[in-house]
Amino acid sequence: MRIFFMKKDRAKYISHLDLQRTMQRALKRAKLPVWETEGFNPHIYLTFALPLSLGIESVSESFDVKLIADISPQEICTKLGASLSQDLQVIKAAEPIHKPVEIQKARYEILLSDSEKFNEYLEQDEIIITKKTKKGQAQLDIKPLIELEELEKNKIILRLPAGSGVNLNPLQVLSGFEAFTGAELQTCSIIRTGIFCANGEIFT
Amino acid sequence: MYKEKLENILKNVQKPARYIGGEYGSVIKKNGALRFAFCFPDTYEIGMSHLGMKILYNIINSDDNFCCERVFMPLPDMADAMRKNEILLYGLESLEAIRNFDFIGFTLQYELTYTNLLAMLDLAGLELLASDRNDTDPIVIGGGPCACNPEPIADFFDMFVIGEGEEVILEILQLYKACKSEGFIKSVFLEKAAQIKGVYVPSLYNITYKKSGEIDKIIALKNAPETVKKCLINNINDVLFPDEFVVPFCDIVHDRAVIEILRGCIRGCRFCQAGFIYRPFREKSAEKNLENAVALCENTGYDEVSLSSLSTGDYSEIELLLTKLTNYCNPKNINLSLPSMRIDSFSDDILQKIKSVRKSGLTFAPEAGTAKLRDIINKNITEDEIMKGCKVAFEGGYTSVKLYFMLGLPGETDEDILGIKQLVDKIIELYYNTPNRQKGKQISISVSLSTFIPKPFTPFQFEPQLDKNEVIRRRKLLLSELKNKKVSISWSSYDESLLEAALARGDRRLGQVILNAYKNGSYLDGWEEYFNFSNWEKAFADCQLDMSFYANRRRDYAEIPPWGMLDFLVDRDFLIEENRKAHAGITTPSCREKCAGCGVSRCLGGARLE
Repeated sequence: MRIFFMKKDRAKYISHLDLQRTMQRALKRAKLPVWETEGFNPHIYLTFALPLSLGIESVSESFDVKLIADISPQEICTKLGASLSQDLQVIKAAEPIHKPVEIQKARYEILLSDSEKFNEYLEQDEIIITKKTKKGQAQLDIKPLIELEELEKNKIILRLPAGSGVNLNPLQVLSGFEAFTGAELQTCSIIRTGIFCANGEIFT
Repeated sequence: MYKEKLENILKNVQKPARYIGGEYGSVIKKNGALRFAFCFPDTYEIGMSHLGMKILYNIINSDDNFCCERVFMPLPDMADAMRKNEILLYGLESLEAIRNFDFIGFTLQYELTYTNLLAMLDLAGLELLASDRNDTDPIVIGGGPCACNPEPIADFFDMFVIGEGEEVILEILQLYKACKSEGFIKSVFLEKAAQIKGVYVPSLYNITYKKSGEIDKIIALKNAPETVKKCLINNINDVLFPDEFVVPFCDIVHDRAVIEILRGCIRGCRFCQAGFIYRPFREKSAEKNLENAVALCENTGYDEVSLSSLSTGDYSEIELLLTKLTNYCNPKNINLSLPSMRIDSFSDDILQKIKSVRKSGLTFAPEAGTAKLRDIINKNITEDEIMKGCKVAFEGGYTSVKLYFMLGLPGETDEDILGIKQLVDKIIELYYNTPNRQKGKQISISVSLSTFIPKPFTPFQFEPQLDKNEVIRRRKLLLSELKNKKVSISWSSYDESLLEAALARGDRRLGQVILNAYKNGSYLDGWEEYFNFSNWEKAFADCQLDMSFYANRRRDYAEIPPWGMLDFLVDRDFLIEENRKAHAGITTPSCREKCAGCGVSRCLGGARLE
């Protein structure tokens, strides 16, 4: 079963590892019939579609969990919903259609005080950022990776590569933007609003 | 509300989840209730592991008239960011500044958090000295084990709760509410509060000193009681115990359900403050304990439940309780944890019951290396019992043992130090001679050495702490003897122990020292990386006070201690008698074997415990 949820407000500060534990405990509180691993240290086995960076909100998170008894998606939503803190909200539960490995892109809505120079930033010949890799640091041109969907005075919508292949974190795009303008961004909120597979199909 | 301002700084601090609240189980109330900020003067990870806070949080929030929020000590990165962005210390529930609350309550767990109290008051935007705060500022109240000698921090507080806070806290809040409805004057409220059992209002006591530096007189003012007796809950089975906890998002020190199976201790180890200040010994029924454990596991989703007590093996129905608990826990894959087991109560039966517990390691506290010294401290564990406990553990599959010892106990000689080595050698030998032990694994023993710190309300409150050179010499002696690859040894810093000893038995004059140390940049003293001893030496010197006067001096039985206005129901004569017996090497049996006549039972209007 795939459970979709939102991660908003205060919940955006929950790290990925902590989120797993939070969900495992919520499932226990909800007394849902979920499968636990066998062996020395049994625990509820969860697969999250796409980890979310600390500080980013989302309305399109999901994880997969194996059920060991029949239960309607509606009941899952009600029970799990009541067992979560207010800033984590269940959207729906459904049988999965795509596999997490099929994920290719994610869409982010960025609210910021001033997006004036963002076009200028994107129109550079190349946008070089320093990325941490296993071997240390590497220089990377992210310009070809950024798809701009919308640009308004206080809002930017980007579609960025995500999933098991190439990945680009919106925070890296923004820190590049900060370096470009030389000014720190004020009150900037980032919301992940969609996860997509090949041909732009919504991950479901 | 600081939500927007916090947005800007949280992305730049370590582990922001601990500064934003919003956890499952946190209680957010509508406006109108009187507000109590429960402050734990250490990090979120430590404070959130503390059972006392969960108990009082639940009790205060269970009353519609009051609301309780949690506050922890921000680490320097967060504290700096807060100052820079003009964010005052706030409650995690409302994200509102606690300087606008009615009460600020501190739990006093450990002497080295005293500078954190000041740091938190400072971050809250309040004056540090109680006398500088006015009628509209929150009342600052303290409680917890260190409140048994609150004198070093008396200047910063309006009042303290002496003893068990569960019932008296609501009485205090109700009195406050009544005073508030008729035009609040802090001094009037405090004078009335001083009449409540267990409430100590330091400003109502005048202390004078002799030339020698000892206390001359303690004078109670304005009808305040001459001695403040500690308050006790009526019945441990009836007192409200939380059926849910705030479940943190991030990892904390003890992230699990906890039930308090008993309070007090029957043992009377002479160095142990908890063993005296939490008397009398009271047990919760097995049914109640099971009920608490089930409710907590169901409401939190935790996969571990820990049995909290001073000595779990002394619970009279331990096997019944473990049977009930394992019947519930095993099918649900919930682990049981028994952190406070005496080695002599570690039996095969108990081991069988807690088989589901991960066999990582066992911790025992012989405290001293020889029978002679264990008699002096009244630890009442024989070497045979230690060996028997270890054997059970080895046969049960354990391959590592952690042993706690203290250096500098009264009457300790080099022979006792070498006794630690001999004991460790015997345990290693026992391991390799145990046929049913886990095959193919080496034993690993870790020996943890702390420095003995004399504490108020114990028979050792009269004892000096051993001086630095001698502690170091004894430690070196042990290190030179105990050279074994299977043994790792760790020890606590002497300087921290010395400061703890000075603060533990300090008087009101130390308030200025703590203030100086804080102003010179000391806080988070319990964290080795932040501890700055020379800062403290300077703070003492600037006040013309001497740490060794408080820490390293033998105190006369007749001397008035700084905590002389407080009464923990244990007779002072009993403590003196126990001190004499210690020096004579005579043990005192546990309360269960024979009532030693400490006075607690008589205070409660009963006969001696039979």
